[in-house]
Amino acid sequence: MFDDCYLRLGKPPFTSCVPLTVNLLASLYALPERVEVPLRGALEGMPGHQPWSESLAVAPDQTASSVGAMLRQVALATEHLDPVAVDAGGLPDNSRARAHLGALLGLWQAHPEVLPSDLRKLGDLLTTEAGDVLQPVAVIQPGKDAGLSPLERKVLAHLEAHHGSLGADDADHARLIAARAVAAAPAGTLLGHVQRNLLDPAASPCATDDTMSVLSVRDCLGECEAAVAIIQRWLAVDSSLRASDIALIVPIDGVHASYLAGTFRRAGLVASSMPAPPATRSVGAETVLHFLQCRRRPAPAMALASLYSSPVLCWSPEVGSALACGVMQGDFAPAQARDLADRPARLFSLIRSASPTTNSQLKENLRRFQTLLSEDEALRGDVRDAKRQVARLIAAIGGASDKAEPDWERLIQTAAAYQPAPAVRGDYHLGGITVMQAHERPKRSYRKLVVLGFNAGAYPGSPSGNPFFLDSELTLIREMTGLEIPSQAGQLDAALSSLNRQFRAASEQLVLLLSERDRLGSSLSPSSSLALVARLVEGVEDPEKLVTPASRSAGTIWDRLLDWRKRPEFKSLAAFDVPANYELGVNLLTLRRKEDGTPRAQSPSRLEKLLVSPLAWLLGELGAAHVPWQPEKLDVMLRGSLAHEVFERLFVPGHVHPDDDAIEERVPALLVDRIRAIAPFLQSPAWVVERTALESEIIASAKHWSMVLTSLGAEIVGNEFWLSGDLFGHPVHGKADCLLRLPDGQPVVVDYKKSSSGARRQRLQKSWDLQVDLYRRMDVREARADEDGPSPIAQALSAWGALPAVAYHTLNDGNVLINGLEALDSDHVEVVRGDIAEKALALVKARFDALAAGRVGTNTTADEAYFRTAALGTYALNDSPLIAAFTREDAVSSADIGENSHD
Amino acid sequence: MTDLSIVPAGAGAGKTHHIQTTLTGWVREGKVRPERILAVTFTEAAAGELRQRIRSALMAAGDLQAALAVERAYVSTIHGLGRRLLIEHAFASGASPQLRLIAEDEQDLLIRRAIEENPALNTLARNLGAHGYRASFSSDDSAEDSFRDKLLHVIAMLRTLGPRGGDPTLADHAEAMVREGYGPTAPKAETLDAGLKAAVASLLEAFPRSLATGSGSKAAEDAFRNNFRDLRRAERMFAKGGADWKLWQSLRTLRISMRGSATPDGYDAHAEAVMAAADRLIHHPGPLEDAVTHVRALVEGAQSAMADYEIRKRRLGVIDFSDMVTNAARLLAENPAALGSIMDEVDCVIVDEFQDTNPIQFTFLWTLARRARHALIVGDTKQAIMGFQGADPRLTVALTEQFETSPLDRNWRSDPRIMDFVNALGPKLFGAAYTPLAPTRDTGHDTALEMIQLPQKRGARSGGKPQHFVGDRIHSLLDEGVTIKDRHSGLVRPLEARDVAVLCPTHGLCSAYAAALRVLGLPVRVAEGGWWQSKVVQAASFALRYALDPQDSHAAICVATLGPAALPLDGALKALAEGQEIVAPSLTALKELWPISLGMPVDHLVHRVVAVSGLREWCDLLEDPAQMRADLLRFEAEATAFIEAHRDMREASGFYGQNGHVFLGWLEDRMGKKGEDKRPNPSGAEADGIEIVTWHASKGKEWPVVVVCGLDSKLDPRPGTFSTHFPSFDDLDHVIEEATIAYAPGFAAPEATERFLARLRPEADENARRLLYVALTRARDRLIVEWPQDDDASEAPLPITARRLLAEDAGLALGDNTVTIAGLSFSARVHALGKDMPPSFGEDEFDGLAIAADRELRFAISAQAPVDALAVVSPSRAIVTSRPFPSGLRTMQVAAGCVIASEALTQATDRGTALHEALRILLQRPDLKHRVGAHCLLGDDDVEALAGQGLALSNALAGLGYDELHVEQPVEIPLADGGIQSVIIDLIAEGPDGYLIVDHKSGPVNDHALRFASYWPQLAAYADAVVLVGAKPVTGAAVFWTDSGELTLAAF
Ligand code: SF4
Repeated sequence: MFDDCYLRLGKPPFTSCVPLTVNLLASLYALPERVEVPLRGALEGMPGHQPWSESLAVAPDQTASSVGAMLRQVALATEHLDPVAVDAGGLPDNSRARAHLGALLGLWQAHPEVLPSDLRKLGDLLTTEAGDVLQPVAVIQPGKDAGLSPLERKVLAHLEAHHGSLGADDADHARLIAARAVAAAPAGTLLGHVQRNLLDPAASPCATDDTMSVLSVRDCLGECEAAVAIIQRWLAVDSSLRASDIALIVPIDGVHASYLAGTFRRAGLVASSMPAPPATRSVGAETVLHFLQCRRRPAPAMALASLYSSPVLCWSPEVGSALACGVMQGDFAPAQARDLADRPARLFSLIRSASPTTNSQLKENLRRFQTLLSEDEALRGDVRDAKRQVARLIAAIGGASDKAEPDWERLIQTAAAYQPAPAVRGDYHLGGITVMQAHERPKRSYRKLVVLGFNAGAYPGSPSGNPFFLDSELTLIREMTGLEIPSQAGQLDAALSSLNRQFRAASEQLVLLLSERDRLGSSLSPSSSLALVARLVEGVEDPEKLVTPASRSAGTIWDRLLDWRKRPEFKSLAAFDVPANYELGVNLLTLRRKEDGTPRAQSPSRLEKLLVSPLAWLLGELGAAHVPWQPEKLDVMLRGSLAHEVFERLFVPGHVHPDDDAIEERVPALLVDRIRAIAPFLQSPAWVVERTALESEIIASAKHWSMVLTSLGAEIVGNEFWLSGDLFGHPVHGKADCLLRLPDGQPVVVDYKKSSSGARRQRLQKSWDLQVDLYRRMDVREARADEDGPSPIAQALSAWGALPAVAYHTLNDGNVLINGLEALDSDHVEVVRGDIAEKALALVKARFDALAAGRVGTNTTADEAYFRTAALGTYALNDSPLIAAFTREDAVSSADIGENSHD
Repeated sequence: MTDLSIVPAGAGAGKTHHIQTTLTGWVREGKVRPERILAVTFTEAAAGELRQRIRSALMAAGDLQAALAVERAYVSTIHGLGRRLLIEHAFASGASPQLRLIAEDEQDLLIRRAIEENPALNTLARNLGAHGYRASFSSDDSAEDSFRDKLLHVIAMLRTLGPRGGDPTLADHAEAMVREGYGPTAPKAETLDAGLKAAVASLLEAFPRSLATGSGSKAAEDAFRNNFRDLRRAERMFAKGGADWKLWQSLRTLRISMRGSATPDGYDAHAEAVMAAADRLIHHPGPLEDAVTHVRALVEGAQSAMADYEIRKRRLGVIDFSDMVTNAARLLAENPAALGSIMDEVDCVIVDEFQDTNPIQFTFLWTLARRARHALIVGDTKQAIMGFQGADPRLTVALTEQFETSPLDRNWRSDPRIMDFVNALGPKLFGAAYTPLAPTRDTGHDTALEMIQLPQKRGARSGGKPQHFVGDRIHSLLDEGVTIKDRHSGLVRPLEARDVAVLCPTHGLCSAYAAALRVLGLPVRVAEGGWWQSKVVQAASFALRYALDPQDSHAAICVATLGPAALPLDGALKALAEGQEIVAPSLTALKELWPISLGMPVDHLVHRVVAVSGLREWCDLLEDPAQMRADLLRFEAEATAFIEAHRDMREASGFYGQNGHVFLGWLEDRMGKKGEDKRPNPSGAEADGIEIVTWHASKGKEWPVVVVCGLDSKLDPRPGTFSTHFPSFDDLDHVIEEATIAYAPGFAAPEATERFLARLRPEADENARRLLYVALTRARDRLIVEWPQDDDASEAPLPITARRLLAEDAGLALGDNTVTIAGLSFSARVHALGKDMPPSFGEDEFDGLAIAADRELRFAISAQAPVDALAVVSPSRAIVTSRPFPSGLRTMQVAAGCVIASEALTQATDRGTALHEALRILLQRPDLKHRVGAHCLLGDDDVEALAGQGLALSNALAGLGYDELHVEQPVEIPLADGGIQSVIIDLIAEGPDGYLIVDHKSGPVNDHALRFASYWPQLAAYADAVVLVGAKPVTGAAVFWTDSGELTLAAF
């Protein structure tokens, strides 16, 4: 409001001019303070036939904000802030304009208090007398066509009547109003011509010269680089030019400003008032939001991780990161949590405690939470924000019954409604290059001006529609009621005159820079005012022709604006020379150790990784794993775990195998139970398709398994048992899914796989198995704590006296691939003969030897194909980008150890 | 009614120019006011161009006001128009006036929820496998995902029908179409089942064991094992009464005796009996019933999910992309008053690319166009190739048949020789409806037409591949001294790489051709995936990770070895193995950002990370620096996008929180989605190399030299697709209300599937013709066609390929230096090639920077050391002053202390402001004391106390010889660089000999001297300011401690 209006305050010699604002007037007249009254309540209390009623019911806040915005416009369009004085009667009956305006006036009459507080203060001002002012005041106002609203004009007239207005002959008036509007460049130049005629319909074109240019580059970073290169050249060639003679205008997006800041720094240039995006988040409020989100069950793992890693909690950021990392790997009670003590321990147990079921519990949780925040001095502001947010939440719960269940949805909305940290403005540096934003008008003239971001949507910004009035309706309203509500046309005019003022500030040279693409790579068009400028330039029949792209710079103004320099000689990067082995000089097999110093056991999955990529394996041993933050999802692993766990409970040792009916009856409940235990997120409705599908898959494979077991006459001896042993002198361990005993006493160690049999069969046939074959060589490690002697599993295995048979049960196609027994008279299982692990073991041996000697082998480009033929999964190659980056160009696989090397 | 003009505009016929001139004509004749133009295009770029053109045409005509008014007109994309109408008429449609647009993630989540309570869909979900849903091999997508995708697809298709999409009879229509398409079934399913059951049983009885063992070859073993398994499964299936059509299908081909591997006696007969019984699958009623169940469940499920989705969106006040049109169309249909007031605002309706509308878009635009006083509809059904997006050119075709049209008949793009060739093809592809375009350009002096005759099929194992021959040809073309006329300057200049485009039917082929051209060292621009794996993006993401968590040793090792530091891997591994930290300068610099990094907005953090790890500079050391810089810029832009994405939107896809980890996860997750991993185009508006684009993407573009490749690509219809049907096009106003849908299911028996596909062939064939037309009309100066070998297919269904269309329908044949089309001969360079790899590929592989220009802006900047600059800060922030600290400080009690008690002011800053405001009033106008309470929100007691304090302070100052007060006095200080600094001084007390500066401070104070000293720079700055503008010297400075009523004074 009150653009280009000033008050001159004080007695000589101190008289000084300040921009006129409502707050200044309120101070000068000691007007009563007015508080904002939220509009939503008033709207909801109105009778139900308002134009916006339906919208209000659907979207109360958005509707209230639209109504509020238009009410403000209407009020500004009146002279006396009096809704009764507006006569809408002249508008056609049943017209939209009449209905909308009538409703707004009705609202205003019924609820004068909802008018914005600054307007109400102006209403108060209009009732004051000249003697009410505290200090001597004089008014400086712009010309009549300055686009002020009727209310603003009325206020100015009121002030003028009291204190007089300074005329054009006054020095302050001249410097603040007249001087700023004047065209700074000489009339004989293109720039001067544009400045004088930008909005003149009758203007003729003028010959082109270097005073004004429109340049395009690929992107906004390029714009900043161009601006800086141009400025450097300007300063270099003209010793009379000072940096403070140069100004830049940047769009409000904040993006240009941050690239500009970096480029300035590199070029040693100093900027004044450089806009800067906020450098901190509202961490306090954010943390409270996450706490609340985690109080509701199931808590999304990522909300938990975000909460843990918040800097305002009472544990150190290291602990926070470690806990978060644990959660993102699916570990909800990581080792770090066990070592916590005192406040951190209390915080952890609060976060992991049972979800509150009543409002009073939740309030208590929140209160406890705010006592467990950081005490770090540097974070005091954020902690204060967090506490304030907690207070807001407790107040929001306030009314509701203490015994009621928390209204999570609403509370989370409340917690999420916080103000983001504000953007800041850089310091004014004496003698620096002035940086302005697109909506600001220059306060003085500059010799050189560069405008950045001269693209569609800016200079001027596109006008936006509203749900109340179309431009034609506003014209009608103006004619019939005299109300001057700003139209899109008016907004556009104001924006263009602002642009004209910006252009006029340059006395020597103006450069307009635009981008051809945004940072994502999409095309951008030039600003709509390009045509306005282009029509003033001789020989430019198409506005696009006025633009000189950097990609066609040779022989153009570009060459006069900056000093092209040759591409510097870059020392090109030597390509990695990847050796067959990296020699690390430490025994790599013993990197992970138990507390007693002995090496930790290798599991089959680690060994499989070792087969495929020693580097991937090594990263795993070093704990250098890539832990992406991804939402929980139902991947193959989890499908497998759920299926195994259901199987374990369905096929119980010593029981008859369940029949089809029993399976159909029991699986749904078992699955629900297992989901609750190991994958609570699947309980949410969004996963219903997956749950249903998984349930029917498990039922189908369970039926099949039951049929197979029955036909074999097999008995379940045990489920899920640990085995351990050693391999080439190194401890190994693993967990088998199931132990069967055939009628002749032959034990079979079974592993369930949530897949089909194809690749598995091949792997066994090609002797690349590394799982069940190991199982059969290991001992049962964890006996059941039965008083009646050794575990049945161990018994069953030792009673047989020879190695047990092993089998994979592939759940997706119901195949059973069995190895280690001679013949089995069954259609339902498939016997794979021979040594299923020979090649795998040979390679493990070779890999072990190398690792023990401190050598880690690299992968070759032939590996992927090699392992595919072996039917081994090559996921390990994607464990880390390091593996691909350090892969050797070689036609021979790293796993090809030759025939003689495994003795 | 309307002054309606329907203008079919062939390729290069200047439709935008036509629109522009028509429109400016209307404006000049006073028929149309510029702000009352409604013009619709399909892309943002086209809308921008149209606006710019109208604007400048009006300016050229001298009407500045009109030109400016265009900015307010409804000139936008169809979605932009819909959105604007929905906002302007939000109350009428009872919607939120600030509709938030939701992205796919959120849409997906809302639809997921809508699916949850749907019994029909849940039955399907139990049996995804049986209905052909599979987990994807190429991505992480599960069978459930593919089911949901299908459902989303159905929903999208139904939504193109507007309200009709929710019509409950649609499922019946779909069912009827499936039944009809399947054809007559065997009368009794039981007979068929019994037949197969018996055949299987007798085979298994005779041969109870698999023949696999000892059957000789591996192939035989596999086959017999699988056959046996299938037979057993069939036996069980019949025992349990299930139905597995894939199993039936597999029993149609059992292995029997072959030369060299005979089966035991009698086996073959049994097996043949099984196969014969299984063959009856093709007319089995079972699969039909399954397909019917499936299609009904999909349609009904989609409809109910859709209805539910609508409710959810309304409740949230959000719309999705297609709602912008669908809801606007509904507004027009259901609210005559709104339609009336919209039409009151526009004088004319213009639609560009009308052929690309889907049914609801057609209805929306047609509703507007037929009511407008002037309407101009431009389009070309020959270029209707957006069917994959739901566009339906049949409606536009019907429109052009029902109304008179005035086709454009000239071509402004291509060399006459190219045009002649296209004009000869036109009638062959499109029949008599084809309008020949008269060329307007001059004939060039170089060759205009070339054919590269491929020596062998694309799949041939040895010799050169098509991309090698094409690459070789382009390579030599660039050396041949060919010249072209520059489109911008109009000057003749040598041909450059950026003048050439290669058009391929698929993205896969685009990549293959790009790879071949790169081998030759040719600069190439192609829309490629792989952004996330780009070196600089990976380096940036690991640097960011490390800055967030220096304990992350994987990030550390990646930053150290894969980033600019480029440490050797073994050193880094060794450090970790020995429990040491990896030492690299970039790691140190990144670590300094921690732990502040945890609380930074991601965009700011990314910016810092890029800066401290020198990633942008590093781009210049990598291959294709321009691409790397563009990749990095996108990474930074993504951080901004992450921040700007609505919280609901992020959480909908499972991303909670705002820190950098969440950002990286969000980004990585998106990369798994289709089309997201595209690398940004590193060149500006104009390509800086050979452009390789798909036929689809070439639409609307042109190049001096165009190579059209991949004419052998199959463009056949696919099973599993839905399509819309219109019983009649007679009433275009209501055509959508009668629409029905059809489905082409995939069956286990390919014969059954083909019965449906056959019906889709005519449309696929049409589409192929249009694609070919688009591809062949992009060249300005030279058209090069890669001519593939015949596919030799002779049995129906014959594949649909562009080559077949040209050879069979157009009778295209190659001569020595001619191409003939049905007898007409055109001069052309025909390259007959040998099969060998072209020699240019044998040379040393090109190694180096294909695209690295010298004229780069970043090199034009000279790096300079930063200059120390003096910041002009507000005095309250000043921390230093050159003024010497005064001696002789004294503190005196001048008034009663006053601590504000008002409960309305909770914050210390609010209390401070109130205090200043109160003193401002009370020091100047004690008579206005009655206003203080309401102005400062203070109680009576506070006001009384402050009034006393004010009075006492004035008296004390008078006592010190300062009897004139300047309260809250602004002072403007001119700066050396032409700027002005404005400061406000609480109080300047003036005496006959000079001024005393007084600043009010609230809050308790213990050590007055110490506190005074801390405010000294501020007081000194005020003193300097007053010296500058005042008429007398500054004789002292003081702080008035309001809590205690003391004054600490320093006299100078
Ligand atoms: S199997 Fe062994 S190595 Fe693998 S996760 Fe379990 S304990 Fe760790």
